[in-house]
Amino acid sequence: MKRTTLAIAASAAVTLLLAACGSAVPDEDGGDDGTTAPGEEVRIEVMSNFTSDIARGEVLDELIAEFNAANEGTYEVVSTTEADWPTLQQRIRAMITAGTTPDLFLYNFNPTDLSREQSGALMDWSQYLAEDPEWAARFADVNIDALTMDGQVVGIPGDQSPALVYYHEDLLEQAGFSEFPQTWDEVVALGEALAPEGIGAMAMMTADDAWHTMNVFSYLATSAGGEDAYAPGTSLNNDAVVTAADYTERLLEVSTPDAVGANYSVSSANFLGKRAAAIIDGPWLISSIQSEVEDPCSVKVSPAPVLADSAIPAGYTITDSLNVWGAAKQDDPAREAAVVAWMKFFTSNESAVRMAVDGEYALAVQTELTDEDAERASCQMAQVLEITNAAPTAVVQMGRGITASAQEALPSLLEGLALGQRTPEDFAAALDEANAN
Amino acid sequence: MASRRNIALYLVPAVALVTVFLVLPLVVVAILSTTRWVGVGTPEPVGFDNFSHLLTDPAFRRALANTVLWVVVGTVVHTPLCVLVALVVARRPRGWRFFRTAFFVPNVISATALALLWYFVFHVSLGPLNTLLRAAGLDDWARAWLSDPSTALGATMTPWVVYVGFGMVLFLTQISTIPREYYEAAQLDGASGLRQDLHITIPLIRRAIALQVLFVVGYALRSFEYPFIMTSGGPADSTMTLSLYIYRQMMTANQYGLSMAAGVVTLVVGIVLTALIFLGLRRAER
Repeated sequence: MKRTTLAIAASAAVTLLLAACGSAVPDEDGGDDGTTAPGEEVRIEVMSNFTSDIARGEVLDELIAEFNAANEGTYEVVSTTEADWPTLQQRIRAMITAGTTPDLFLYNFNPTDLSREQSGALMDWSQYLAEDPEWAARFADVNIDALTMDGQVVGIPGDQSPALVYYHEDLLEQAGFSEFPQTWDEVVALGEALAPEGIGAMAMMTADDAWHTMNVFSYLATSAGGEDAYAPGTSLNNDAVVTAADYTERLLEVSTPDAVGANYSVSSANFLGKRAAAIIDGPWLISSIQSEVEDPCSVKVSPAPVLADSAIPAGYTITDSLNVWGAAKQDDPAREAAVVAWMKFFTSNESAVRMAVDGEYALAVQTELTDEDAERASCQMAQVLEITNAAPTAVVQMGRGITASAQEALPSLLEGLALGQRTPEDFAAALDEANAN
Repeated sequence: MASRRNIALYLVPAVALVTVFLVLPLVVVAILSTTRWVGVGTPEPVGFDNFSHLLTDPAFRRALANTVLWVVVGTVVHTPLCVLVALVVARRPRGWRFFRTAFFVPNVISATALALLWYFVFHVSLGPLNTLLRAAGLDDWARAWLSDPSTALGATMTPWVVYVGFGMVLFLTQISTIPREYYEAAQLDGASGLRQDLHITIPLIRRAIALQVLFVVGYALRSFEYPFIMTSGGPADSTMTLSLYIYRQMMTANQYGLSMAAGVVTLVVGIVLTALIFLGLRRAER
């Protein structure tokens, strides 16, 4: 009885949330409302943050138009977008709970929160991957393994962008560096050299998900403690995290003066405006570099530095979380066929190349560029692909693998560290405690 | 009898709307505040654990204290400022129409846009405030206003405190209803303008002042845009408010139950503060 009351309360809350979000519930063409009559066109909804005003959104729209033209009268794909990633994620959660799961949706996979995967609302892709080994081979085994639960594959790997160092070559030359520093101590020295000019070494931020700062932190922690420095289930109150916190504090000191409290847009604007010499970000930054930096090709890409006694060889990459294409469990075989057909088209090499070259967005599939494609790619994207292909290993960024409670606590903890209110040891202990909730 | 039935019929739409859009959501919030729920699946009952957690969470305590401070600043700084401006404008000095409009304009601009504007005003390197201080030779006064815990909260409150337009209009409306004879009699008795304000105007607009304080409480409990855009609640939670705390627990931490519990506490704080204002007003009426 109590469970029923709670379920009703949850449904009511979700209904209210959806009402607040506007028309979040798909119309009857986009929901799971029975089977499709023979000869009837199947319309499916793809929900993502690929808005039409950004490069990857433009490419998605083009791909959808081509797919729809090739499958006219059979399938129609419709894109629904929400620019703000956290809002998109909450909207998807609400729709899963309300029983109106979108046909296809992009979400952030977090091994510490499998509520969406275990909701019973997601489609099992295992049969389709088994039937088409060539398609299955396009995805890294490690990603498919991560998405396999109780024998079911709950999603298709979407993207897993590498976070690499982007730097202004001229600013480094000005500080006496011919290439990006190889060690974090040298980065601190770079910051000290640039400080009199009012330029920060690394663009950093502490608000929201502290993305740029946590990229730095993750490189430091893995360099100090190896690939498993903050693996799920590991205590974060360890030496590697303490070392990373110590260096992060020092790097925040030689960052831009507004780093404490800055969000992604402030931090990236600091880099693009040359108020910071470098930034660690994903390839989506490239479209901004191309449009906003006067001489775009003066921005170079480099693997991140390591600590002097690094536990991992230099050249490895920290990546964003694995973003996954989840799909609604369908009662209608025709709709399920439409979802599979679209995903096969979207993850084909041709689509992946166009996403990488024109959309500045690397999909988590094998992407083979022809010489012509490589020439068409921006100066940074060519370097990104080169560094990523050469990387000995990749580790997911720390902020993406900790619990939601720890993610919520991160900004405050980082700011306490930057302001000297917390020692690196306090930081590690408090983060570990938050991660236990 | 027919009249009572008609009255009941007239009330049905309002009662239905209040029930659907206020009472039911409140009941849902109250129920979910006693659960652990990540937004997917069935909530797990946890009794009053969420409320216990709130008591021990330094970020929530800070949010509560800051929200109360917003109420205090709104009551003892913002409201008197509104009264002062209204008293001056009510005397219709030269250019009063321009100033009345100028003071009110910020109230029709999106708070989000204003918050962005003030973010740049206080920005450590791009902001005009620090530029002006340096130009005036006050280099030591220039600082990272939004990153310094000792100034960040004040900075996020500043726009709200200085935008007096709404309160001013509220008081001007009330002042316009005061009979001119009261002032003429006071002038005949030789009362100065200040005395007239203190002994005629202010006592006669006390209901409007109480109403303004009610608005202040409502706004303080909902204060979100300025801390969210200017500081994101930082540095180190120093500008956290109850609304922002609720948002972060729901949108970042996926702790819907905890978020709802914070909402219940906000509701209780609002009811208590409103009751106190009415109590104060009733005493003033005696």
